[in-house]
Amino acid sequence: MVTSVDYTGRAVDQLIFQGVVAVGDQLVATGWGEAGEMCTGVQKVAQTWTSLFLTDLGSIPHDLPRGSSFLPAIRMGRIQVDEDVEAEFNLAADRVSRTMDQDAADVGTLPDDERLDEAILVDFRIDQAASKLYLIVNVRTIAGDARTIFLPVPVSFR
Amino acid sequence: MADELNFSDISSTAIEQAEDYLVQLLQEEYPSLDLTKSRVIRDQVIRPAAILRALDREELDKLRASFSPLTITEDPAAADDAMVDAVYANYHIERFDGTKATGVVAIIISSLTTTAVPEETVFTANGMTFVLTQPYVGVTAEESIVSSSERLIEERSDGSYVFTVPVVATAVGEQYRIERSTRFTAVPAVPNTIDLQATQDFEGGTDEETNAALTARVQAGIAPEIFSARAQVESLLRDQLPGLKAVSQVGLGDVEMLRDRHNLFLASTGGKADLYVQTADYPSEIKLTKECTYVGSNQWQFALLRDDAPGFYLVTAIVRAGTLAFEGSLEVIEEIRGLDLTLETDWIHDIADLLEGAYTRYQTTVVKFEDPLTPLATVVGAKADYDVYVLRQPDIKTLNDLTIDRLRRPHGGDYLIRAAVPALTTVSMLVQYRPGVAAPDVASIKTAVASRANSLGFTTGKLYMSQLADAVYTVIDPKSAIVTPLDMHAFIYPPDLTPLSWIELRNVDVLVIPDLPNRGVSQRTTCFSLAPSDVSVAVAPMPTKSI
Repeated sequence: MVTSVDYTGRAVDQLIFQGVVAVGDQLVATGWGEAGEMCTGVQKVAQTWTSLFLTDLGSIPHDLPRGSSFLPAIRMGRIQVDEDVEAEFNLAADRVSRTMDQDAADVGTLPDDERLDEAILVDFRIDQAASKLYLIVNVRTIAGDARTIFLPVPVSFR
Repeated sequence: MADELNFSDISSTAIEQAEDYLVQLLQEEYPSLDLTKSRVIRDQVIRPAAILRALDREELDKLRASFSPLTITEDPAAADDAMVDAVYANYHIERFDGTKATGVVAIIISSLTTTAVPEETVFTANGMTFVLTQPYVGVTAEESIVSSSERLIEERSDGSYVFTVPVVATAVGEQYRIERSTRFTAVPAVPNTIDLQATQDFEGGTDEETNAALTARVQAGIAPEIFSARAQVESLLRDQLPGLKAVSQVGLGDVEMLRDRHNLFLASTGGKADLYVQTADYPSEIKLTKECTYVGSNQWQFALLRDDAPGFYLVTAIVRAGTLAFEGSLEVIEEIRGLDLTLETDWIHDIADLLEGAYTRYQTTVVKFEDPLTPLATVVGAKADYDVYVLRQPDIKTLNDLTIDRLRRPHGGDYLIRAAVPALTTVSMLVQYRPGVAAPDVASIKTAVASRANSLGFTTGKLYMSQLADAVYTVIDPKSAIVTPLDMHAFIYPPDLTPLSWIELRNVDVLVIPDLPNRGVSQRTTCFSLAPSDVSVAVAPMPTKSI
């Protein structure tokens, strides 16, 4: 297993999670950032996973297999009870995982801490009053690094 | 303004190429960027940029393909229509929009009853649709006719009744030039209808020019439109008649040129040119009502004057005036061709005889025919009207008028317009299709075959079976088969003996126009003409065993 801790000379991606801090609670939102911040390692994997997970499957012109079925499932009302959340999450996460595996295979030289090992739904909560679904997802790289992602998603319930 | 592209016009391949290009460009400039697929920069920045770049590139490619006559000529299909129009406008050349065919449909009904034909009625023949421009009513008495909407119903010899309505094609195109006696269907149906037929060949009906056709015309069109060398003369004729199909110019040094040998030694002296033209894909009939004179023994006589059907080929049918939806013709007993060289302007062509003047606008004829039902009491010299159907190429006079107009004709040349010597062709074929698939459309095959034969113009003087077979394959399933040999047959009416004698060609592989320049027949003067109705097509399933 390769473990990367020194990020010097590593390939970087643009950071789209703004407000990330090393320790403590902090509101994190997606955005380009004022100066354009960069990231690498597990952070890159976490945002790649999030971006794919929240992209509607079939919504990218000429690249229809990219994305996941999670948000379309919510819009179509397929998530009503707890069991639905796990089923739809697993379906969507599996597609994202296969997409990232394929992309990594296309490159062939990604370090282990930039390759997805698994994304696990750690916890979730349905707040019917607020019409919100709160997901807590743990994204782990092959190198063993992990990031926990909190995803509040608007949901409409019957 | 050219049509703007949208995302669906761009191929995935083009986007991938653009994306690869941008990735390579950025990677070289910023090697530390992670441009792997799915990364934010790749998916959120590069990919949208690649789509827009591919779109721009497509626009640029279209622009490059359209911005000069050179690039348009290289690939007319890739050029943008609006831009092509703009480029050629610089040379005073406009795209020919095409025209809709018009004609008259005879509605044959079973009883003498007032019959309405609503304006929304759609007439269909050979898969092509025609409509009315106003509602019509067939009325039983002449007194009932108070406007152009009323059409008199007349009795036919078989006890049925008939009236006519004019129709117009629903789209432009030469294929809408329906021939006489073609049968129609109508929706909604006209009450008491027995049959619906074209009373005569439909007129007008020309194709909209494609970029390829426009480019071909431009080859001649950019030349000055004057009587000069061949390119300029063709340009002049095409400017006058954009739908002109083919031109062959016979002049000094050509063995077909007879008019410049009017001297004691029969030596060519130049200064004359015969311009053979094909003005339509195939000749069409024109209907004339002629006053005929009784000459005894049930025989009648009439003259076709030079303005009746300029450059005509043949008298194809004679019937009593008003006869509609008929088959056959009264028998022609005698026909004598002549020339009427009366001055129209201050000058006229030098034409010595019928060989030199056949199929020109100066040609005339006197026709004697027999009407066996002539009343016994008819006295010699009595007059009666007959409908005469004449086969001709349109617009021969229109073109010839250029050659005698003092302002346009050349100072030192005698240019004479002649309709192409006709090689009237028929073709028979059997097409076999695979069991289990739909039978091929016979009308489409006929149109494709006729179109291919008629497109040959004066190019080779040969009509190959393979050319027709190739045309068939453009409209049938590739696994269908054309059973060879095809039966190809043509009658050439040479200028020296028309209409009394003809040259018959028959072959299964190739029809070749003979080289008989002293009779006015050669590749330079003669065109194959094949009407869709003269293409006989049988379709049958291919005999196969079940597997």
